[in-house]
Amino acid sequence: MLSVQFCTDNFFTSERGSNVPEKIIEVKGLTKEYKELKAVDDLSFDVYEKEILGLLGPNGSGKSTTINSILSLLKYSSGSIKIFGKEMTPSAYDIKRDIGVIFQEVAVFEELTVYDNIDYFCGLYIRDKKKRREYVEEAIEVVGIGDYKKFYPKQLSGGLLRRLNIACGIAHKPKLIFLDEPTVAVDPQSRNHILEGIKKLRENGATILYTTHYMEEVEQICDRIIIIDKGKIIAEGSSDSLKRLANIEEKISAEIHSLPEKAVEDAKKLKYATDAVYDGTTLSVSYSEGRDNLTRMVDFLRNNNYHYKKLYSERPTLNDVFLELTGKELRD
Amino acid sequence: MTVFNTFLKVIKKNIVTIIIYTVIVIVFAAANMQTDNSVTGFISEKPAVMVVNNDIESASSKNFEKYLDENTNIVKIEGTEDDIADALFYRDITCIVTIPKNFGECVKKGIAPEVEIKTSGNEYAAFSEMIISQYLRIQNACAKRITDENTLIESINKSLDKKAEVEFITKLNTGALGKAKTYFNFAAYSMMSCILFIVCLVLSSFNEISVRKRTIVSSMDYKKYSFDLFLSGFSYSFVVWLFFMLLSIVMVGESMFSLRGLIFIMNAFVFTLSSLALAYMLSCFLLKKNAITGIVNVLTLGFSFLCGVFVPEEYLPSWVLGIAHIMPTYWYVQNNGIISTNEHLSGCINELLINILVVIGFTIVFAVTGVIVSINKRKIA
Repeated sequence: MLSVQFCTDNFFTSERGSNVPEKIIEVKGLTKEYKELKAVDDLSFDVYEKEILGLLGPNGSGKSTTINSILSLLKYSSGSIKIFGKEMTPSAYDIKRDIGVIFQEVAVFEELTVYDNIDYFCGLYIRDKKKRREYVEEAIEVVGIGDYKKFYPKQLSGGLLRRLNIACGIAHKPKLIFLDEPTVAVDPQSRNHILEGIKKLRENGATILYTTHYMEEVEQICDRIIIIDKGKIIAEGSSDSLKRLANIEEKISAEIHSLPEKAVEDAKKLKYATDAVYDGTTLSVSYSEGRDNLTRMVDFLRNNNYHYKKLYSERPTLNDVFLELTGKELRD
Repeated sequence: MTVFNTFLKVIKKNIVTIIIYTVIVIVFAAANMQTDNSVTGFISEKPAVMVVNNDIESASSKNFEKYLDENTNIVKIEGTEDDIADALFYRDITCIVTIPKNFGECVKKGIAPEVEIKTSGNEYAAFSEMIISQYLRIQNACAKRITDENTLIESINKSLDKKAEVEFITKLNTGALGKAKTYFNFAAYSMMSCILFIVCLVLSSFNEISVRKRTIVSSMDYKKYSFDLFLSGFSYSFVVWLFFMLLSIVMVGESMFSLRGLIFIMNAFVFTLSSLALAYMLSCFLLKKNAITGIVNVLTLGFSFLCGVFVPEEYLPSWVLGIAHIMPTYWYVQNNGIISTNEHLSGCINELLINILVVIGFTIVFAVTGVIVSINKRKIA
């Protein structure tokens, strides 16, 4: 049985002062069952004003089900959901007015130009044509697709298409934005552009709930992270506090063509070493603490005539946290 | 207006398709309307007959043969009995008349001679039999009271000479109405294609799962959104109907400015509504755009061929017409036939109304099915 790990440092009190910000989303005991399968199991969490909350978990962990339940796209089995302090229902149009959603799948009209697509989705919220024109232009600027206004979606690359998808979701200037894996299958340049854009949205006052299975993204932009697996929260906190849960200070990896089993056992006996794993190409040794771990590792390899190509030291990642808590990789 | 404007923009991207279907109706209808459909009289035809005269000496048989020569097309076939049988089988001749050896004798005695008639069994053969029996009936009647052969022949010919004047009386402008029927039948294919193809295509864009999810989470009332979408589809269908009705004035002429023209137009309007409802229902099932072209073509062509749009229903087998009953096009085409051929519309008003009600029934069934599927899909979006 997994127990939820809460980290002691409070992001808001430590970094933003003592004022407790307003709760934008309040999820209590959310459960969604599909016959015998519990996709979401008694999930409770809050999202605070102007924070970027990352919902991290492997594929099938219940991230999208959670988002769809919050948005009333799915009927959930039990629990309660409040947004802006009001109960969220399918017909809560006053709440929906301030929500923007960017789904995993690109949701645009193939027959409309980039500009017309953004204008249409913005038009679902903003009726005033003049105001809408300004908003559409601003959204185009935020995602950086100004040169492609008259292009049709088919003429855009994958990255530009994702940016258009985001522009369609944020053009009406929502106070709360849901981003469900917005960078899937995106080139690094577009990914950076998207992540920078998300930071800019927060700077402009938006609260963001960001789901992904890319831990690097979460580390890069999220103020607070919730790790979920099998529909349950297994850890919650800032990136640094979560990493402390991994009980790893340092991880040293060496690329080695072949290695006898005995070598792995010997590596585990190194000073401060907590674990050693060999996957056929790389020997990874985790250390709980200590200095000069790298020097000791080099000596170990040389003394035993294990020829390595590369040797590098890493700080623990969220994947290590996930591994520590669940015994499996985030990308399994 | 956002939904309406976007609907129009998507239609604009498919304008070429609309033009193609419109050109099809103009070309095909124009070609078919070249045929003069007016019925102003009749001409008698001469069926092909082979005569075997075994009594060539008698004046009576000669007179009978002369009558046949005047009223039928006598064909001589050289060859064996099999060749003659083949000619009959292949409808080269409609019948073989064999005049017996004792034909003249029997006539003189006032006895009806036994003339053998072998027929091909079709309607032309029946016509030949009618011509032959007419002569023999008169001959038998005269033979009972006249014994002199020459006097008898004279009497027969005198009786046969009596001709009835036939005048074809109708107030219907059958030529123009025939053209109107052809035009409106062809318009069924094009109107249905334009509506099904475009409405399905546009609605499939709106119903695309991710787009629909984004719409549902927006602040636009979903009922208003659905109503806007319906209104957009209706407006487009109305424009299609209006265009084809204006085109009918160009193609058919001033006959459209009459009661019959008005009923043609109303009939087409009800049919347009059923096409729109069908498109709405189909779009709830069809999500992949690639499938739309194929399915719409199968449906529109299938409906048209089975219901007598392209091929007149007189040429369609009864089982095909039986299947056609479950398609709105059949009832629409039936009405076009009634409007264009019935002398007195008041006598068939019930039939017209029933056909229109059946098309309205189809419209309701399509629309209700579409709404139910749409609501279910929203629940599982």
